[in-house]
Amino acid sequence: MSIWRYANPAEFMRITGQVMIPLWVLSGLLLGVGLGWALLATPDDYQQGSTIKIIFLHVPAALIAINTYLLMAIASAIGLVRRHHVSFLVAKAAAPIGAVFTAVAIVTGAVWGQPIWNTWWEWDPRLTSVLIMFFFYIGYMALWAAIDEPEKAADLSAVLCLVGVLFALLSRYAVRFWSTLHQDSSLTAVEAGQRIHDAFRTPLYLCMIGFYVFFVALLLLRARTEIRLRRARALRLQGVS
Amino acid sequence: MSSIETLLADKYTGYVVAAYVTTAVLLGGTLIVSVISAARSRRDLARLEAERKK
Repeated sequence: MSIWRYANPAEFMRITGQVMIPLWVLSGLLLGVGLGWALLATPDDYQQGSTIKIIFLHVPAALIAINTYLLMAIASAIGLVRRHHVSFLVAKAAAPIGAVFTAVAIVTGAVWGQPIWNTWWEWDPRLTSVLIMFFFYIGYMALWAAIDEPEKAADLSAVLCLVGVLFALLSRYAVRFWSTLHQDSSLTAVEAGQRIHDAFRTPLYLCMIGFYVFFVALLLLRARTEIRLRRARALRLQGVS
Repeated sequence: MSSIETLLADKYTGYVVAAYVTTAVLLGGTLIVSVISAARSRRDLARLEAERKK
């Protein structure tokens, strides 16, 4: 059976309607356990003290911020090529969530950077590319809001989204291209001294999965809203009021 | 000393609290706005569908 049947709005609403409550419950459980463990049962870092607890917010937020943009780019490309409205609407629904997670990553990074790097902000390649990605999120949402005709808004914002994908990729890989203030990934680092300690690893994974499930639940909630708004608009155009 | 007491006694506690409160406000706010929009769109569409069937 083709996966494209999920691009049918009625089918999308039917399937997603069945998973919403389990997703909210699962995200609540995972975040409750993960953040509770992180705050109450992890030790302080021998160099960073209690600021290490910011990692449980900053890393999941940064990952989701970047991956949401990539998801929007894929959905936009599918929308442009196959003309599936649900793809455009999923991208539109994801944008505010991605922007908020980017803001969380930037703010928690700044709050972590002040005591550890002795600066709130640095024009470092990774930080700068994340900031530019944030502006692309804002621009994408502004473009959708500025154009009354949904078809035109979907096409133009999809093109804008695809242009900005460069900065999402740069946000992810900048630390590998340049040696900068921001360290490489703590989870995948090969050298033992740079890798995250096992005491923090499990709660961090729990928080990452919990935030991802929260993201999926929020995305589906917003995508379902966009589909209803589109249907309501179509009815109004038919003269129903 | 428990972990929470250690956290509260630490000189960096303010930074940690600021990070968690900001995250809770931003994500919680997004969730509330999304839930309100979803409820409003559901109500509006149900009304329009009922009107169409008349």
